[in-house]
Amino acid sequence: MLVTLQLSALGFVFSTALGIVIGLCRLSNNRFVRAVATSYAEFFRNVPLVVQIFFLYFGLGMSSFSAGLLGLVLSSSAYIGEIIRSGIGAIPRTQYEVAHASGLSSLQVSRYVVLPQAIAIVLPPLATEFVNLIKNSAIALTVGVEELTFMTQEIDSITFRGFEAATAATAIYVVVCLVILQVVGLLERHLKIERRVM
Amino acid sequence: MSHNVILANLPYLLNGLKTTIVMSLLAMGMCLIFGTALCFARRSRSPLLRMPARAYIDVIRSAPLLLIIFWFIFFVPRFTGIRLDPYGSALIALVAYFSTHVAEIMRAGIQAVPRTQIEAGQGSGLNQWQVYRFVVMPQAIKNMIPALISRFVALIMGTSLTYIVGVIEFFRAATIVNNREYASVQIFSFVAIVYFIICFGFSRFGELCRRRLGAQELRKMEISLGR
Repeated sequence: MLVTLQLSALGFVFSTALGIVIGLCRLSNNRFVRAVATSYAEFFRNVPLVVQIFFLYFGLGMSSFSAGLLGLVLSSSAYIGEIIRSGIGAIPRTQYEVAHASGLSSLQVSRYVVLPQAIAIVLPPLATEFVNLIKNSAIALTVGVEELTFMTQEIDSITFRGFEAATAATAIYVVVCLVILQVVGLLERHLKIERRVM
Repeated sequence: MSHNVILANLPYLLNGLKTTIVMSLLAMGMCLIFGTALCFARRSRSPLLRMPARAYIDVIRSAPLLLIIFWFIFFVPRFTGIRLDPYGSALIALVAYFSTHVAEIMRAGIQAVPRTQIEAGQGSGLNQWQVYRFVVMPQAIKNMIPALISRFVALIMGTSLTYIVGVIEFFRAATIVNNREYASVQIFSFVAIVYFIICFGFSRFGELCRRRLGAQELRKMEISLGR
C-alpha cells in the first residue's frame, strides 16, 4: 500500500513535469520539436505499460522500483502532454489577439490570460489521470513481485491467500479512487461556477 | 543475432499474437452487447435498475484492470463453484472492465444529442421508439464511434495483462521466449513495435472517423476514463 502511494506520488510529480514539457513542445512553432514530442506521445500511448516496464526491467536491467516508476512516468507523461495540449489549444485565438491588442507583453499574456484559463480546463482531467496512475501502479508490481507470474500457474495452491489479498486490495483501490473522483467532481463544479462568474 | 532470436521463435510469437487478436475481437463484441445493456440500465427510470448499474460502473472503474483479472480467477470460482480456464476468466474480466467504459461512452453519446432534436422528432408525430431509432441513435452512434475506438485500443493493450493468469497471448509468449533465450532487449523491442503498429493503426482510424463523421467532442469523457 505504501509502495503504491509512493510510486503514484513520485510518478505523478515526474510525469506532470515531463507532461507539461511534452504538451508545450507539441504546441511549439518549431517543426522538429513538435515532431519529436508528437512521436513520443504517440509511441508511449500505444504500447502497453507492461511491455514498457518489462523492457526497462529485463531489457535494461533496471531495479524493479525504478523500472516501474520510469514506466509509469513515460506513459503517464504522454497522456498528460495530451491533456495540456488540448487544454491550451482550447483557449480561443481571439483571447490572445485581444490581450496583445490591449498592450500586454507575451509573458503577461501567458501569465494573466492563458494560464488561468488553461489551469481551469486542465485540472479535472489531470486529477483523473492521477487516479489512472494509482490504478496503473498495480502493473508495476508485476516486476517487483516476480513470483506473481509463477504463483498464478499454481492457482489451486494459493487460491485462498490470493482471494483475501485481492479483496483487501480492491477495497483500498476503490475507496482511494472514489474519494479522488468525488473531489474531482466537486472541483469541476467549483471551476464551472467560477467560469460562469468570469 | 538479434534477428535470429525473433525469427527462430516467430511461429510461436505469431501464435500468441493470434490469441491476442482473437481475444480482443471477442472481448470487443461482448463489451458492445453488455455495455449497451448496462447503458440502458443506467439510463432507466426505475431505480431498481439504475442504482445497481451505477454502483457496478463506479466500482469497476475505480479498480485496476489487473485486480479485476485476479478477481475473476480467484474470487468467482469460490462463489459460483464454476471453474473456468484462464482464457475464459480473463476474457470475462476484460468484458466486465471495459463494458463499463462502453456504457459510459454510450451514455455520453446519447446525452450529447440536443433535447430539441427529440422534441422536434416527437413534434413531427414519431412515437417514442421511432424517435430513438431514427433521430437519437443515428446521431448518438456518430458521436460514440471515435471514443469507442480509443477504448478498444485500451482493450487491446489490456489483453497484455492477462498473461498474469497464464493466458498464452502475445506478451506471455514473448516472456516465455525471453526466459529461454535471454535476449530481453530484442524481444521486448519487437513486442513494443508490434503493439505499437496495431494500436497506432487503430488510433489513427479513430481520428479519421472523428474527422470524417464530424463527431461531437466527447473528448473529456474519454480522458477521464483512462485506460
